[in-house]
Amino acid sequence: MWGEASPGQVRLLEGHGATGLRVMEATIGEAEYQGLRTLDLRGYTDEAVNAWMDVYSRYGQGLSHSYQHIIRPTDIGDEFYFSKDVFHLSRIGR
Amino acid sequence: MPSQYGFLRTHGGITYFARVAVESQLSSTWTVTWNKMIYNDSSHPYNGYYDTALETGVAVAAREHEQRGGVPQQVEIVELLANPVDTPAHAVRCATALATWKALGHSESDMYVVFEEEEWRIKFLTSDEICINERPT
Repeated sequence: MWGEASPGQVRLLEGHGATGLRVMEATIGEAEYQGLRTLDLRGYTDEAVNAWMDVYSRYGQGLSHSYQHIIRPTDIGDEFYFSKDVFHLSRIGR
Repeated sequence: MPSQYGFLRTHGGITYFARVAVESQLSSTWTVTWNKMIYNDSSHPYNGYYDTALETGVAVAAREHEQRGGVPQQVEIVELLANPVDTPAHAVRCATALATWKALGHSESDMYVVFEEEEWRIKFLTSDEICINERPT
């Protein structure tokens, strides 16, 4: 998920073959959001981000971790990752 | 010779990723193919987005291989793992070059990657630099 959808994100995905893209809005209550076990990788050093990704993301070893919400910068904006375990806390709109 | 390389680098807080597997065998001319390539565990069809990066990655390794006396090879790209969000073409180019370089029988320590002009690029160590790196400390 991203903070907000941009035309650049849509163009990128369409360039990879995606069709019929539709932007959906998800909301979560403030208290529920603040209660998530969150890791915010913004502001970490490159070495620290790389080390974390190498161990815990599927790009590397893919070891399990206990975070429910991870924020990290990407080339097309900050990505807000949520564990499927907390999907029930969000409401998906149009 | 089979080989693979997982490219994972972070610059400016942004992570770049690509994983490429190749197989090489002797040939009379350089050829690069990916007709049977498994793309993202076959979860999505490959639409050719990274074609140029794959070709260029092999070419980078092939050029250096020939400069060091190597002979032409047929290089088959057998697998590509990419994520549109974290995998720009230059990450695929680097992963392909590194996988190919190892498939051609060379060492990964002969080369390094740098981030310049907004993209990751492959650099090769000269023979002098390799000697310096291999000097016992």
